[in-house]
Amino acid sequence: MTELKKILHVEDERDIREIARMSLAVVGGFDLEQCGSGDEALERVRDFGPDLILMDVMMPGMDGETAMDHIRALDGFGRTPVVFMTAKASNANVDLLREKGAADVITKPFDPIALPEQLREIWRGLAGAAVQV
Amino acid sequence: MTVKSFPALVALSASPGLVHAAGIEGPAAGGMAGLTEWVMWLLVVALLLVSLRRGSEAVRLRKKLLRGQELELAFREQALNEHSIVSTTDKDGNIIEVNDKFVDAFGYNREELLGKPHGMVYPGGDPVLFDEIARATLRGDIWSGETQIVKKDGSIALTQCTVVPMFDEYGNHLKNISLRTDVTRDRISRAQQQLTSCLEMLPDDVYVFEPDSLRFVYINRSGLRRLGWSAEEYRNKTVLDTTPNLDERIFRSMLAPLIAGDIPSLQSETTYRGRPIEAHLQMMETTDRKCRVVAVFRDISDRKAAEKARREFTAMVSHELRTPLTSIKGSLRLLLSGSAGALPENALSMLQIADGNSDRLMALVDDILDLEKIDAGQMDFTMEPIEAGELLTEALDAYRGYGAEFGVEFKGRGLDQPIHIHGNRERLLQVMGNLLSNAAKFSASGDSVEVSLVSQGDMARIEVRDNGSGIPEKARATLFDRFTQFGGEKGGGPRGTGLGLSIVKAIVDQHGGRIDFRSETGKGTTFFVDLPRTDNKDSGRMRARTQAA
Repeated sequence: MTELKKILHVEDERDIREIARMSLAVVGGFDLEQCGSGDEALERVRDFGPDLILMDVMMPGMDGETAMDHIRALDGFGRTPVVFMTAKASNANVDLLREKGAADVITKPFDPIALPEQLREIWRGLAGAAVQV
Repeated sequence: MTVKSFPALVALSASPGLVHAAGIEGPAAGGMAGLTEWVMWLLVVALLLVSLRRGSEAVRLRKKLLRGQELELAFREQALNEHSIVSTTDKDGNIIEVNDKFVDAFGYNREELLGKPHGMVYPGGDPVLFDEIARATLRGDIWSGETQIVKKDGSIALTQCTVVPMFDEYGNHLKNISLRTDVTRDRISRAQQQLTSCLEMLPDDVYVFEPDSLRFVYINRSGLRRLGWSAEEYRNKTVLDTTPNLDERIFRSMLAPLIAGDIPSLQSETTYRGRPIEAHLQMMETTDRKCRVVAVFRDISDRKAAEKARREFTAMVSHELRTPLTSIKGSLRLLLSGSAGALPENALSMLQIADGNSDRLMALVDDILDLEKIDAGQMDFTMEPIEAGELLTEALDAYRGYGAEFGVEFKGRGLDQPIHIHGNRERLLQVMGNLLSNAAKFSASGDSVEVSLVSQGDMARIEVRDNGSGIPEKARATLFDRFTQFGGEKGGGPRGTGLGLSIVKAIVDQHGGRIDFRSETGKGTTFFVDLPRTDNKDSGRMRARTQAA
């Protein structure tokens, strides 16, 4: 099982990007690339080649779900796991995002100290599911 | 001998001729006088004969007159009987006579009525009305008014009634004769006209159709406007003409439980001719016992638009409040963890205050949004069968750590009983989380909080008992109100939002349950939540509630 190393974080809020940078790069030690919009993520995803994408749902312009669909349509990214972050924490929203292909959903506010381990846990779960398949 | 000796004859008639005859002196003596006397006697006899003849003629005429009067009375009675419903009651109010019309109109036979108190045909005996009629008739007045009569089949007839009292020559009340006209049909007709006028003014569509043929018997103005039909046109149309490609089989199968009386009404939200509609269908019986389906369609476009706006607002507020709070909370957590470098102790103390209050602000946002969702009917209450003991164990496991922060141990009792409820797991866990966290906050370190489950008839009772400071009696009335806090938490812990128990109550209410508490200051509090059990005959009711939710 490969280790989770490269994360592409897509978030329009600059402050939250900064907290996520501290959380994922400083606390978690991941190789992190950050984008402020879905369009920017589409431009940079090929070059960066992330293991996992952490994506905000509500963003101006292209929203998270649309960005995921576009990235999934790119060659080699059809199975790249996308973990959504959302402030809409209702079960119905979470279920809807999972139905649309999200690997998991993390609700805001997130704990920046716990976030790296949360993502590693999701990654391990995905790898386990892949082995079972 | 004088006519005086014939007093009977004198008294026989009051005719002037006889009065004159009675004034003649008796017979004189002598031959001439004897002849004169005989002539006189003959005259008297002749006069008597004439008088007798006249008398018998008078008697005959009087008899004829009486016969005529009797005949007239009989005709009048016949006419009255033809026109009116007539009954007679004795002075005690017992029925002594009813005419055929009475029998025909109200369905009783004479044996059932005669000798019975007249109250038997009035709904509930109507003592007030009896009193009013009795007072009027005893005074000798004729009473007129509207009365209701209970027909033999139990239905009510409206009658216009006149009660005429009859007295003997000494003024004793003998009987009352009641003359009635059945005005039920007039009243119904008038009521129908009024009802139709009201229905015509309604902004909702009203459709009435026959359940078998689906043929319309009435459509109000709003309905006709929506369908683009005229008032003459709709009588030839059926329900199937209202919507292109309406599947008759599906429509009839939808109506079947309503027609069979299995359900009291059918309600649904649907789109009809491009507009969102709330449809309500109900069966009714006409006065002539024909079954009809009444469908009321309400255009809910405005309501739907308002609901959408409210949903969007809730989502927007949720996002806009959570986003800055995410930054604040995240920054504080990183600083407190030392990820951004070591901080002096005083700075850490200040950051801890900020961190605790950001938690509180976040809880407040969550609670306000929860209440907003409950008020707007947007909170998810998808119900499922739940084993109550399992749910409580899950709640205890989830909050055990929270209790430990306060040095409070959570214990379960009776959680292995097979008691089932129907509910929303997430919401019921929210209820338990609130009750457990409250119990921990109000307990002394080293205390325990006990969660127990018991079955009480149709209900499952969940109890959360602490040994804390208790809730003062004065707080009882407002404890489940919004923004209610009465203090008493231990220092150090995060303060509540004052919304938790109102949310808990709203959730329990949505489950058809009840929440309350008993408390003794200084000894502790027990909150109990009663939820309908589903492992009994009431499960159907709960399912119905679930669908409604």
